[in-house]
Amino acid sequence: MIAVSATVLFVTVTSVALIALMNTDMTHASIQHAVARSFYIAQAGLEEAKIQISEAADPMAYTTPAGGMTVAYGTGRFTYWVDAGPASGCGPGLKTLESLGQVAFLGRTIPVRVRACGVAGTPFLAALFGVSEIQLQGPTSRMYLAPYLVGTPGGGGSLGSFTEINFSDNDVRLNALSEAAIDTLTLRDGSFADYELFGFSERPDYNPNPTADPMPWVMSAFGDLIKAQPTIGVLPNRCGTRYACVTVGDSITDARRISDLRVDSYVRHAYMKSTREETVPRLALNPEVFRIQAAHNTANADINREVGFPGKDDSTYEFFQFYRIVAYLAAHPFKSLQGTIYVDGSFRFLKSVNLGNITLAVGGDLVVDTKASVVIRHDLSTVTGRRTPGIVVLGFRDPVGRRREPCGGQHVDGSGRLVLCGGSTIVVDGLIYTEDGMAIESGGSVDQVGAMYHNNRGTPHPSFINHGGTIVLRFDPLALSAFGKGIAILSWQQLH
Amino acid sequence: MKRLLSDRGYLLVDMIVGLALFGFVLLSIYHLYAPTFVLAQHIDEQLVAQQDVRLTLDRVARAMHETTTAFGRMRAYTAESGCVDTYEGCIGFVTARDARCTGAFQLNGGAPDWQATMYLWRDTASNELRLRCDATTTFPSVTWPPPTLVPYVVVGRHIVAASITFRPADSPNPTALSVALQEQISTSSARYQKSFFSRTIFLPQNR
Repeated sequence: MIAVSATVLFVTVTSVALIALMNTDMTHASIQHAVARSFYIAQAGLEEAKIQISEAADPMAYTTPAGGMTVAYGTGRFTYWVDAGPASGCGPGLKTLESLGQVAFLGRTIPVRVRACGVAGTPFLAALFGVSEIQLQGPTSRMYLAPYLVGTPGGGGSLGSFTEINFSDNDVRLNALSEAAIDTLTLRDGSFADYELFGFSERPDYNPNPTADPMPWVMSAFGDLIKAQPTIGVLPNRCGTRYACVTVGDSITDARRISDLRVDSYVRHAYMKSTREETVPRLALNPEVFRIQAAHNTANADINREVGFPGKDDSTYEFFQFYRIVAYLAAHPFKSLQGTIYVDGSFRFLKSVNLGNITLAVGGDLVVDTKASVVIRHDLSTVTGRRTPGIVVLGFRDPVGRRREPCGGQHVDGSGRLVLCGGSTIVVDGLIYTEDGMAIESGGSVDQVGAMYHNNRGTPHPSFINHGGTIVLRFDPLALSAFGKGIAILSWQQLH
Repeated sequence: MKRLLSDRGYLLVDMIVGLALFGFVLLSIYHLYAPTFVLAQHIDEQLVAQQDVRLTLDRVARAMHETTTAFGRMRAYTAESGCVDTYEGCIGFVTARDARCTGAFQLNGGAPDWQATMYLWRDTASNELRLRCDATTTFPSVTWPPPTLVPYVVVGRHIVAASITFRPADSPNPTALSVALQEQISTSSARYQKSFFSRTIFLPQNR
């Protein structure tokens, strides 16, 4: 009896010990599993917040209650906040999204909290985007796609198209930072070594020779070439590829990588971080919005009176009225316009003029004549100033006008083109939007803080041509919020 | 003699026989359980090993989620680029956290403002997985080793092999990072597996 009892006791103790051991091990593993689940549930919460912002009538105004929105998900739940509760800190004009994933396990709740910063009102980020072809021509072409807010080195803007990015000449310079000697740029706020635009305090030490180094380290400071495809419809290109292709000269061979472009195609002065394929929606601005804004803009009534339109309070102008306004401003450099200006028809700047803190919307084409200079500056210390579009060239509703050649072989017919003739300059803040593309002739210069989006109306015009001009575009993602759709995420972090 | 025979009780020999039988029974039970004990010990060692590897990965998980796979901001070093001999599984990537890579996540206009470069590698001599925070640059060294790898912190021990590769393999735009670690169990029974592998795919969330 004693032997049996002792045996039973021994077996029981041993079994319980084994079970306890296994249980401890399984508990440890399960806690880790719960942490992983909590992380992915928090990520799901962030995605839900993005969807809610995108679907909101006004994505920029969307916020959640301070208590957040809690949704059961999987085996746990997430709570997300947008610009409310703990969600703050991304900076003025940006959306702060925060999500807390929670999984209950063994009487405890295992949390993971993540945060993202985004720009509401734009579904994707590109410093310069063309619906049709982007064409970079001529050995004197220079383009810098730099960040507006400079932090540690890097942060350059991206260049994208739905159809093709074409380097017509091998000597085109794209983000070529002081390759042989220090290159200086004179901008609205002074003279800078080009590398300073990207946050480098001294000339970056890299080998510009692509055969020696196809992908020098400095390229990680720049943006991407975005080979885009629209979410709806197909935009065919010369290469026959689903996404936009990157080509050189007349070739229809798609350069898949930046190293292919620099080494195989000899475009040795082109520097971008990488190429990437992306499906993005096609965007457009509504002319009526600007016409209505201008109709309600009475801030220029005094100038209207002084140039001889005594009963005119609004800021919509026939083209001949606007010629008088521009002539007046050219003669009175301390005067300037304010708010949204709508010019009903095509317009050509013949003289240099500082237009002021405005959005210039043109219901035709816009030409800046040879050696003329146009300045549109916003208050970039404010979110409103950074979001306000600079130049919007909308074209006629039905472009049936006579085809003209303002300069350099560029053609305009009222479809909504922006042409900078040789030696002309624009200094502009905010978004430059064209309905049918932009062209910069030899010696033309663009000094912009903001972004560019160039549409196409089914014409053969490229969306963007730089034919020997110098473009310094300091990319401000907030400029893209003028489109008022979607949200683009800028950063992600895990709080705990 | 008659009285003694009529007395109740056990003789010494009864006791010895009884104890022998009891011992035999216990021994039988022990032999019955022996494989179970070995199995339990092995399972425990395996779970400890797995826990070690998981903890190792946990120590770098946040940094890897918060970094970017963008060209030049994350580099996985091969033998050709210098990750040989005393180095294995070498990688360099940027972090936006200041204060020796563990401080606040720094933003510039809402985007990550990279603050430092982190290097992770296995030291083949010590079987340690080491992590170095280099706040002097935000561009990982093109070749291995970087100018200096001290000071560092040990994030894992008993790691006998490490492999770090980009995913998709050979893509010009990798989106993920595969971290494979192998841990050796030193006291394991010869009957069971001694090495354990753990492979984790990280998806860096920043561009």
